[in-house]
Amino acid sequence: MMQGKTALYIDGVAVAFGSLRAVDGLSMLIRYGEVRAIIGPNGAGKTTFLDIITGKTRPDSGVIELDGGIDLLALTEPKVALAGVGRKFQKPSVFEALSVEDNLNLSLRDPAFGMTREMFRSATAAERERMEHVLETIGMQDMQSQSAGVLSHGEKQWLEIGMLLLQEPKVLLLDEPVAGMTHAETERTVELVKSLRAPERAVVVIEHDMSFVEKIADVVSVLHEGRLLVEGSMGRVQSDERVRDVYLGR
Amino acid sequence: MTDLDSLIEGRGRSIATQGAAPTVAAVLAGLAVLILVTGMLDTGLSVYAMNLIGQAATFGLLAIALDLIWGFGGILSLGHGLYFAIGGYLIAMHMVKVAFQVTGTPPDFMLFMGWTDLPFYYAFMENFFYVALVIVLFTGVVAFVFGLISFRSKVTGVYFAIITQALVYVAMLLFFRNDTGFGGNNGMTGFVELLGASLSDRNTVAVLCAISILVVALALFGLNMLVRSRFGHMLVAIRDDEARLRFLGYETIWVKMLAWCLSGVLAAIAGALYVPQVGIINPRVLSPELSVEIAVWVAIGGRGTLVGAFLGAIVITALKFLLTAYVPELWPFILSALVVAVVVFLPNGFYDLFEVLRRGARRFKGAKTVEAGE
Repeated sequence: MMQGKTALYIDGVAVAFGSLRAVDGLSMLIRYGEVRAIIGPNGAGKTTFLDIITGKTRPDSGVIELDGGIDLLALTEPKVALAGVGRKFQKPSVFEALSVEDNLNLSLRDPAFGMTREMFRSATAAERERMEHVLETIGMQDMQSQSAGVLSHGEKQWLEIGMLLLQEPKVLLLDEPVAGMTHAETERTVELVKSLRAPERAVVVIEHDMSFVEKIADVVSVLHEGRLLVEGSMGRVQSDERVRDVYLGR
Repeated sequence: MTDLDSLIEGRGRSIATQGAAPTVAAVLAGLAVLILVTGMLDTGLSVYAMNLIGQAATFGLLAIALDLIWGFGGILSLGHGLYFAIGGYLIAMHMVKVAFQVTGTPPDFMLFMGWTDLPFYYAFMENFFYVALVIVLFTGVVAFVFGLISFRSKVTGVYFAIITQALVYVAMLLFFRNDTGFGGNNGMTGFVELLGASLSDRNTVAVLCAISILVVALALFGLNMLVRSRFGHMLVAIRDDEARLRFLGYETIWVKMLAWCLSGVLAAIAGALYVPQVGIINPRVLSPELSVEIAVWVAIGGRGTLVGAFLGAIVITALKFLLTAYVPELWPFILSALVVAVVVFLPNGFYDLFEVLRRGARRFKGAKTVEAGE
C-alpha cells in the first residue's frame, strides 16, 4: 500500500439530524496518491460525509483538515473548492443550457482572482490548452460546441469529472460516478478514474457497485450507521465477517 | 425543490447562441431616428401615435429588464413594478417641482394637505441631472438591499416571487396614503416641462418617443453581449445548478446581485421614460397586477431570449390597447387564455411558435414530396 502524505485528516466527525446520527464519530486518514473507496449500505452516512467535507453540512463536532493545516470546517462551499477540494455530485450536475466548452470554461476558477474579475475575463492560452487536454482525457474532443443538455447520462458524468479536473483539486470526491451507467460506460469510467490517480492528488469514491470498487480502489472504508466499520484492501474487506453481516442485514 | 420551482426557474431551458438581438436593436435604432426626423419635420406619425409608441417602448425595456434575471438567472420577480415606480415617481417629483416653480401653482397634494412648501426630500429635485443620478443610485440601493437579504437567506423560486410581490403591495399601500408627499391615491400630474421643453410640444413628444426606443435598442444590444459573456454563462449556470457553480469555487451571490441590481435600474429607467409621456403617475403602477403582467409579457414572448420579452411586451400592450377599446370586459379572459395556451403549448413563448410553424411547413413539404413520389 502507498504511504503518501496525508491529504485529508478527519477526526471524530459527528452530525445528527434530529434523533438520527447520520455521521457518528468518524475518523479517517486519506493520503495523497491513493484512490479511496467508501462503501456501505444505504443510510450509512456516505453522502452526508461528503456534505460535511465540502461545507454543505456543518458537523456538530470533529476536525477536518486539508493538507495538514487548512481547517475545512471553517470555510464556505466556494472556499472549500478554492482550497482544493473538488466534488462530483450523485446525479450528473452540468449546466445543461451551456455548451460542453462553456461548461469547462466555467471550471477555470483562478483562486488569485476575485469574483468581479472572474465574471468578465476570458480563458488564457494556457487555460485553453488545459481545456483541450481535459477534453481529450474525457474523450469528448468532438463535442465541444454541443449543448450539455443533449449529452447522454454517461457523457454528462464524464463532463462533470472533466470540469473537476480543470479545477486541479488536491482531493477529488466522486459520489456514485457509475450509478445508472451501462456496462460499457462503466468500463470507460474505470479507465477515467484510474487516470485521475496522481501523486499530488487523493481520489475518494463513494460507490455501490462492488466490481467497480474492486477495479479502482487502493483502500476501501466501510461505513455503517455513520461509523467506520472496517478499513483495508478490497480483499480484506470482502472477507470480513462484520461487513457481510451489515450487507446481508444480519 | 418543488415542480412549481423548476417550472419558474426554467432549468436547462436552452439559450439561443446566435440571438436576433443585434438585428432588432439596429432596426429599433433606425426607427428611433426616423421618428425623430419626421417628428421634427412635422410629417409622419401623429403626436398621439408617437406618444403611444414611446410608452410601449418603455414597457419593452421593462420586459427585457425582467428577462435578464428571470430568463437567464431563473429568478422570478413578481414585483418589478416597484423599480418601474421608483423611476416614475422620482421623475414625477422633478417635473412637479419644476411646474411649481414655473407656474407658481402648487401641486394638488400640497393644497389638500394644506402645505405651503414641498417636503424636504424635494430639495434639489428641480435639477434634472441630480434626479437622474438619484434614479440610478436609489434604485440600485433598494435593489441591492432587497437582493442581499433575500439571496443571503437563500430564498429562491416561488418564495422569492411571493416576497417581491408582497413588497410591491406594501409600497402600493404606502403610496396610497395622502400624507407622504407623493400625491396619495390621486398621484402626481400637471407636468409642464422637462429640461425646458414643453411636454405638449410635438417636438418634445417625438424626442421622448425616439429616446425611449433608442434606450431599448441600447439595452437589447448591451444585455445581449452581457448574457453571452462569462458573467452571462455564470447567470445561466446559477439557473441550471447553483450548487454546482458554488462547488466550482464561485460566490454565486455576487453574480445574482449584479444581474438583480442592473435589472432594477433598467426598470427604473423605463419608469422614468414612461411617466413624462403618459403625463401622470399614481400608486396603481405599484399594483400586483401590473407586476404580474410584466412576467406575462416575458413568458409569452419567450424567456431567456431578450427579443422575445421585448416583442411580448409590445404585442400584449398593443392587443390590450385594441381589445380594451372594443371589448374591455373580455380582456382579462383573453389574457388568461393566452397565458394558459403559452404555458401548455409554447413553453418558450413566441419562439416555440416559430418552431411549430417551421415544423408544420416541413411536414407539409414532406407530405407533398410523398405525394409527388407516388
